[in-house]
Amino acid sequence: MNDPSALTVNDPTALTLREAAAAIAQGALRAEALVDACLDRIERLQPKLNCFIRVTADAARERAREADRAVKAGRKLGPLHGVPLAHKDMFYRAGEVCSCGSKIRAAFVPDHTATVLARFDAAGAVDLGRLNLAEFALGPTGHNDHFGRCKNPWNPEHITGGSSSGSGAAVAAGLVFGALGSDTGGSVRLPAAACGLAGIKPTLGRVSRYGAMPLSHSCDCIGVLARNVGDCARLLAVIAGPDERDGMSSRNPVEDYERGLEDAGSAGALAGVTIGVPSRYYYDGIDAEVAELLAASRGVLEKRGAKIVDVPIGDHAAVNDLAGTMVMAEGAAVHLPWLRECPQDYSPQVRARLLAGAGLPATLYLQALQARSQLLDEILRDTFTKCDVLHIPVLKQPVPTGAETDVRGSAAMAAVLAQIVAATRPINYLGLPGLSVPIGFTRNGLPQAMQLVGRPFQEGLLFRIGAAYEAGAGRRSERPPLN
Amino acid sequence: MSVGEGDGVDRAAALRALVADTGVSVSPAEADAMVQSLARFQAALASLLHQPSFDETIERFFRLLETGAAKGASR
Repeated sequence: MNDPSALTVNDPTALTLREAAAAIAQGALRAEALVDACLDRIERLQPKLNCFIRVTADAARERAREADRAVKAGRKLGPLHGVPLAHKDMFYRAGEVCSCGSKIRAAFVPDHTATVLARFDAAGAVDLGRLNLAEFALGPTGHNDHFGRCKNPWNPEHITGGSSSGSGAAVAAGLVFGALGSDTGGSVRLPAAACGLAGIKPTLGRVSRYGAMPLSHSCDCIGVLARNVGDCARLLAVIAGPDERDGMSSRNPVEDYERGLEDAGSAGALAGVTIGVPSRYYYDGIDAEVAELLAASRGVLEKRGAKIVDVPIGDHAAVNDLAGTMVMAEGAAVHLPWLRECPQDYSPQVRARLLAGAGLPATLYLQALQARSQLLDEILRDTFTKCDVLHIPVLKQPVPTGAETDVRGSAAMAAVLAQIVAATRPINYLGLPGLSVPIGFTRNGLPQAMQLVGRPFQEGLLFRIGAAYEAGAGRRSERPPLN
Repeated sequence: MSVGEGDGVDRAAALRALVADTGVSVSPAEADAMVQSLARFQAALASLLHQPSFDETIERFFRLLETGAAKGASR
């Protein structure tokens, strides 16, 4: 990390999250100046990217001034003191509209605040507003019939990935330093990959879901996107941990993720780490250019001391469909009253996907749930006894265009969407943590990523490997040429 | 022809009727897509090498998840 006191802060939005936090804490940068720089950038780039649903400029400026007063007064500061963030518009803040990317909830005002927002507030973060997303977080491309498609900062013709589309675009464009997303089938990892960011879907239960819009209680995870792995680690550390208001949140201790990154830059940082490449499914049918980038990323990991081995894996095509069974059935149950009362207020794609769950027999849904422990047992026993983490793609193809994936509710919809989530959704079914890390660009100029998947609650190890890769590949936060 | 009519059972019509009972109306095209999803999900379950055992509980998944970090570490 650069020494923040030595920074020439011409463009403070170009700092990393941790650099910005350090600069504010040391008095080298005023939080208000940083917030103003972000707001200027939002004003300039929002028409091009459509990543914000609402900007809360006045509240953000006031909070930034408070942050500056706290620094001057020598008060104890949190790890995100004065740092501008913004979040997918599905996390409730008491008294503020939360649209969930939908027409149905366009005027919904919750009476309570999500635990994740409260934890960011307590850590000193400055919330700049609400970010675009797929309608009800159900869609992996970034299309939204109600708020418009969110555009990829690397090329607006291409998708951002979804459903946390605005989170991907806003962080990649340097409008904020990090963002919350939710990941039910890949909705953090896909936009992170498509926008050139680090993004983590933690273990199921690692982060409280209290106050977050539900889609599938068996698969929903709250995660974060940031410009590099270390920034991601800091954000997750703030929101991870038990919450008495979420009965499914885990009491497993939270590691000190950042401490684990201290030697990530050393040549042998990954000595003793075994990285597994699955023998089937995840690399089947992969685009040649993407496969080449993934192979090169394994070369970097190997040079940092990791051992790369082939590992067996079960039938994850079936796992992917079982995940679909659970998500669609649980989603349909949540949405049934609105499907009955105002079906015309859903976009055709979201309605069609929810209806697919409405017709599933309860026995099939319960069997999908019942098979889960067996399949988790199988991967822990047969795969994770031979490696520490899996190395797989996030997207098996180069990031497609908006036009190529604008399938709405057509007959082609299921196949197009299934291809996008093929490498991410099985991980949700198994409840495992997955980290998306940028590994370069395909010839279309769009980013690509590797996905590191670990045993339950091994987020710290994923961060360590991701940060060692960044150091080995000489990658810092790369920003799209938007100016 | 709707999906599934080949064996004399119009599954799409049956599904439409089933969902209509919950008060949700479904178009014929949507019903066809529902039948396809159902078939895919059923095939996924059938393709598992080992069917979940009679004694398998849903709760066991969460226990495995909680203790899974340590599992497999002994290589």
